[in-house]
Amino acid sequence: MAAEPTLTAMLTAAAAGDQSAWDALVERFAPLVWSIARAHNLDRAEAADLSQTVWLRLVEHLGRIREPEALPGWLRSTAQHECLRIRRRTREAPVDWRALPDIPDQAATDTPALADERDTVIATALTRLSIKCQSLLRVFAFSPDAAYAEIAGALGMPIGSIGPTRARCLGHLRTRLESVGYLAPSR
Amino acid sequence: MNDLHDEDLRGLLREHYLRTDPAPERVHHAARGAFAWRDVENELAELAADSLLVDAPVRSRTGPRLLSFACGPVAIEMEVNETGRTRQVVGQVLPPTAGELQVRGPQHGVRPDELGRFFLDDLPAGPFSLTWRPSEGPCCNTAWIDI
Repeated sequence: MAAEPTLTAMLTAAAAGDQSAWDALVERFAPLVWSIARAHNLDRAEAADLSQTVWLRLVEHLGRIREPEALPGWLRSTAQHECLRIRRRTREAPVDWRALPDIPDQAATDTPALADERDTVIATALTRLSIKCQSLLRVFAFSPDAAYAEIAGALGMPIGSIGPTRARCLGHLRTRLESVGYLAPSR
Repeated sequence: MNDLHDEDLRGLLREHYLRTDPAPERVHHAARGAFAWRDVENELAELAADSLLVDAPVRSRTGPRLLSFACGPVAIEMEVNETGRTRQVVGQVLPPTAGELQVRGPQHGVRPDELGRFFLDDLPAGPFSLTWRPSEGPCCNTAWIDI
């Protein structure tokens, strides 16, 4: 079995017109683009339009991505700008992260019972976190190599504001999952 | 040690979101299909101005979206109006130049009038781009936008 191609190889091939290289890029990064749209609270139709616009933009820019490793960052940034436009277009104000508390929204207590019981436990634990944490973790889940600043940037969160960090949000989540016995306590 | 734990938790979250809220297959399918719009011939007309990006403290929330694309010697100005999931575009090519505009997507071509004006009706909401084919000079594709 061939080793998974590098990002450089995929981008180079796609820029040269290779459809299967493009398909591999889509396979790899579609969840990331979708996660940003959903973290911005777009509904499924808006998220679908946003995704498609981002991918079409990438097709336009294929020949110009100088640093292949910068592709995830480019996708995050492009998605974030489109989310901002969509919210403005639908007359919604951008999320005011500074105004949101760092504590959970006490009103949000109902969690759907999900098909896989693991997911009910995880979803419940997530709702116990602040909205900011939930949004950060949603994007973080699909951003293995991104710094906190990048993830916050993908949500339009002001950097340098005192607020949740990735480490703190993960810590909260870990504590919750340990307290319900889903995770073994860490040392 | 903490890094390993974080990475495990990230993987757990990733699998959770993929199970509970994955992008629908049609989104993946459409994204693969986007490659068909690859065009190495025509120039790219970048978005030069977008009223949605203006950070005015009091911005009209009832006005239509105004856009401008720079395409070689011409500017393509557009106003986008919405009715539910349908869009209308009223535009103008400036300075008025002989040529034709083609919607990239559903078959829809239009020839600007002697003042450069054009009108597109019944466009679906979603990604939008035009090809400008002047009678003389290079063709341009306007950068994809979501209308």
